[in-house]
Amino acid sequence: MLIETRNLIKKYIVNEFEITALQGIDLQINSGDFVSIIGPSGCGKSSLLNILGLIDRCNSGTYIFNDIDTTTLNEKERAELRKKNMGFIFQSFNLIDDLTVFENIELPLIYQNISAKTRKEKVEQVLEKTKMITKKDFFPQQLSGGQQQRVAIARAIISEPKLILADEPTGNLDSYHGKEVMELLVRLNEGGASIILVTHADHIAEFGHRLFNLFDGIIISEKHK
Amino acid sequence: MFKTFLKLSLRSLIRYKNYTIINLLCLIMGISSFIMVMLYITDEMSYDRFYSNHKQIYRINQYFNVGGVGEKAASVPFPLGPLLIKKFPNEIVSTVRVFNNQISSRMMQANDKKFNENGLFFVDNNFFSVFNSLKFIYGNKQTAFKYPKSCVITKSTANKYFPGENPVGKTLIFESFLPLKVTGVIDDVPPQTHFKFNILVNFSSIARIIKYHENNWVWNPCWTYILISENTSKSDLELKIKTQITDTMKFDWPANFLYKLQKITDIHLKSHLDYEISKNSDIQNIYIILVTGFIILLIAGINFINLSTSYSSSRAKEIGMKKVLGEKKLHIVYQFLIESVLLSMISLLVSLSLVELILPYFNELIGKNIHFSDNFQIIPLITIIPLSIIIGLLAGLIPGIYFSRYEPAEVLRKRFSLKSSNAMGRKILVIFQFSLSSAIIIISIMTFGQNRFLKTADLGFKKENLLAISVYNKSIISNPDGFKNELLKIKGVTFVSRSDYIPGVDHNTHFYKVQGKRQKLEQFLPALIVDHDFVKTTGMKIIAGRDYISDDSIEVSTGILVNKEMTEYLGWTPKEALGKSFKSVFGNEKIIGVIDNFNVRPLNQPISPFIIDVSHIIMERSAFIKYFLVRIDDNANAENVLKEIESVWNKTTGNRPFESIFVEQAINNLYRDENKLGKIYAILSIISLIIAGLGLFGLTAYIVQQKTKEIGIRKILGASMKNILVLLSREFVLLTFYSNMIAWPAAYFFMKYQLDNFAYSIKISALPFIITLLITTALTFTITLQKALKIANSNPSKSLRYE
Repeated sequence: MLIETRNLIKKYIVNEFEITALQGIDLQINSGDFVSIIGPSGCGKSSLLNILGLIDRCNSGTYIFNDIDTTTLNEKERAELRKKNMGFIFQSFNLIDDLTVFENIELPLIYQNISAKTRKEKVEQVLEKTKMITKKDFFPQQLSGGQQQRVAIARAIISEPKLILADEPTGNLDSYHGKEVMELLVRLNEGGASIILVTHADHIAEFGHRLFNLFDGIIISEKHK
Repeated sequence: MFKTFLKLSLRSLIRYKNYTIINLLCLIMGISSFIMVMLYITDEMSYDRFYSNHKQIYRINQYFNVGGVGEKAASVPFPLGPLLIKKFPNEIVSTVRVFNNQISSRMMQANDKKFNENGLFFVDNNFFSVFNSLKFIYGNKQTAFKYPKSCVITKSTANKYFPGENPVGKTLIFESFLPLKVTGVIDDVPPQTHFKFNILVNFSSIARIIKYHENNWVWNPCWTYILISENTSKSDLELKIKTQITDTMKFDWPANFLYKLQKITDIHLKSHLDYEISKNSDIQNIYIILVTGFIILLIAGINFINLSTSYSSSRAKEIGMKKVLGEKKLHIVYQFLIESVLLSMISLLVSLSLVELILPYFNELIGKNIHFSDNFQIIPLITIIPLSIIIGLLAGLIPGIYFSRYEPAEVLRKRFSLKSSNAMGRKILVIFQFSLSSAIIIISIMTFGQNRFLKTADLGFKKENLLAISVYNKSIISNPDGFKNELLKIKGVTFVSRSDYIPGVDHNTHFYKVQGKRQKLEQFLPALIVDHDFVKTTGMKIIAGRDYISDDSIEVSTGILVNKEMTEYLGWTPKEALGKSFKSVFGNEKIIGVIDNFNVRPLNQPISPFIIDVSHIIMERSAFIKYFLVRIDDNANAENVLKEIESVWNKTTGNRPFESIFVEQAINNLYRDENKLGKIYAILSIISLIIAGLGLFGLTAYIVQQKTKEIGIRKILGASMKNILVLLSREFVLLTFYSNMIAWPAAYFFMKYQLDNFAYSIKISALPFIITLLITTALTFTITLQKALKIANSNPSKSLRYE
């Protein structure tokens, strides 16, 4: 099992009010799964994704990733675990404007102290895979939304992570480019990557094999394809 | 409409509190510093301008030179003044001589009150017709010097000797023997004058203290001021003086003589002649301080502009919506302008109040008495008001014009910000700012080094623990040898010598006929007239021949000591010089010893040929006694020794006020101006660094805020704390490095030019440059580190702002 959560609770304080975003989430995800989490805006899906991606902490509950209890890890250990095992794709792409396509993609490898020669090889491989090789010296502002998301995907998979977390990856794209991105994700999953996808759109969620329906911080249903 | 803009401006300033506070702090510091600098400069430039006829008042100076040795003297012989008025009645309205017998301190007494006065001068009767703006409280200028043995005193002097009384008609006793009737009281002389006095004595009284030298063209002790007529030009009069007086004079010695006129208002800042009435300042220092003041203001202005343009990007949504709703382009510009001008005006008002508050402390630090209320202080105000407005306008114009150019949708687009070309512009401004600050710091460090050098330099004699007791004529010490012996009995006193001046501070010149190697010379040469124990007392080093052995009259009347420079001047080695003849009023003397070179004057002047001589005419020796130099043992308690010396003095002089100064202190006092400049520079360099640092703080805060999302992404992608810190600080640390590279050559050449004004100075080393680099880098790193740590520790999910 890749991921197991027990009774995950997440609360926020907003203007002195306490908001419970997750009210006890129990989840089990296996390696190779393509999981979609669907729900309306404000249901807690991004909060759940952040916790699963180790970029946020829960208030209580357990989260075990690849047999490691992440709730006992310190910040440095969490960062190490995340660096080696996870890739992220965001709705607004979150590319760094001052870096070229090539430089954006190689960034995770720099943080893993990979040599420049190896980085070059890997980045070019991934650029080929995502059909962005001709744009490697472009800056994000010079690309369309779809192209930017492909770069973001390339960046997410460059370190061959066990898990890809995608938060509304097609949210800022038209239907054609959105379909293109989803097909790329499917191919990655077929290649062995586990994927957790968060979306509010049914037709996007259907690309996953397992569908969790989240509402007001609770998983109200689960479907298998 | 204007009211609306003003209201919105105030709200905006309150909303962006941090930016407002940083800008206010920087502008207030910059503007306050500039106002202080301008007040100081205006004060310095105002010297002697309170005399309403200052444009017509000149001092006549005497220049002569033989073979590179001579004098440029601020004082001239007695007969010159009267001769000028006689020869040039159309060109010269009046002349006034001022004389103190080259003795700066005199004892005055009224009843039981006895003080040494440093501002007593004998003046011609027409003094108040030349120096016409001095207001009489009692008496008047027509009758003040009508009768002999009369004096006019200042208000504070009157309060000192005759508190609460009208002193006119009362008597002040000069040096215990000469009663002077007070015939007038004037307001205290303003501090802004090169000629500070508190007691003026009728010139005819001189006859009571010295043999009158009305025909003596050799001795030049009189400061002589001329009131020229309105249609006379200085250069014409100088030429006439040359052709009708100087060229016709016949002397016993060959000399190139020249009389030059100097505007009274030029004396304080531009006159550095021999025998100045008091130590003057230097116009160079004024220029340096003025430029530095402008630089500080510029640094503050750059901060303001930089921060305004950066923070304006945060308001893209606001400006975009205003454009959508139909606001005119010009109004967008007005909004920014009003905000920034409002901020600079608030800063100006606060600065004016702040300056008023700290002015007393500033005055104390630099030894001045500057007040806002003085007439001349209007100049700083009329300079700073337009400058503040210009800074405000520039800071508002750049973002205003920029935003007004774009379509509303473009401005509203989330990623709108001032272009990367503007980011480059910001970097250039930061580099420029830090270059200026770094240059000021380097200069400040080197100035400090030079001032320390001036204090600690080896002058060729031992100035530490050497006390100079002021003595003025034989009436004080009726038995100088007896006084000397009493001093030598004190435990801790090792040697005592008489001297006419304090070595290292001043000296006179005397006429000598000398046999040089190639030619015979007859000229005035610098000399100290001392007694036979002088070399031992001062710790000078004999490098050939010997010192005086005793006070035996043959020994002193036939022996003379010279310095190494003198032997070279005359064409000999020190050994060859021994036995060579020096003829003067002190006798037909031969060189018995050569002393290693020593600095007789401040270190901005090179060592000149010099003589140490003893007057063999015992009765005349007293005329040359102005100081007793007392060598105090290094291991003795100087304070206790001083008390015992004062006790001996009181017994000898009948409790006459005791005046003494350590030679080291007297020499340090010569560098008061340099020390003052050093202090001002140190303060300005700290202020410039604070302003630049605050600006960097604000800019870093803005840039970190802009990069929050990027940093969140990098953290998610695996960036460590170290990666984030390096990312954020690297850019600014590099900017600091570039700034120093620009500052270094500028500071180097400036200091080289400054230090070249000193014959003796420090060598320019790498240390000040490295220290400055370290300070500025450390400051930059600390500021960015503080901001970087905050963001590096934050939760990356928050920075991505999902929900």
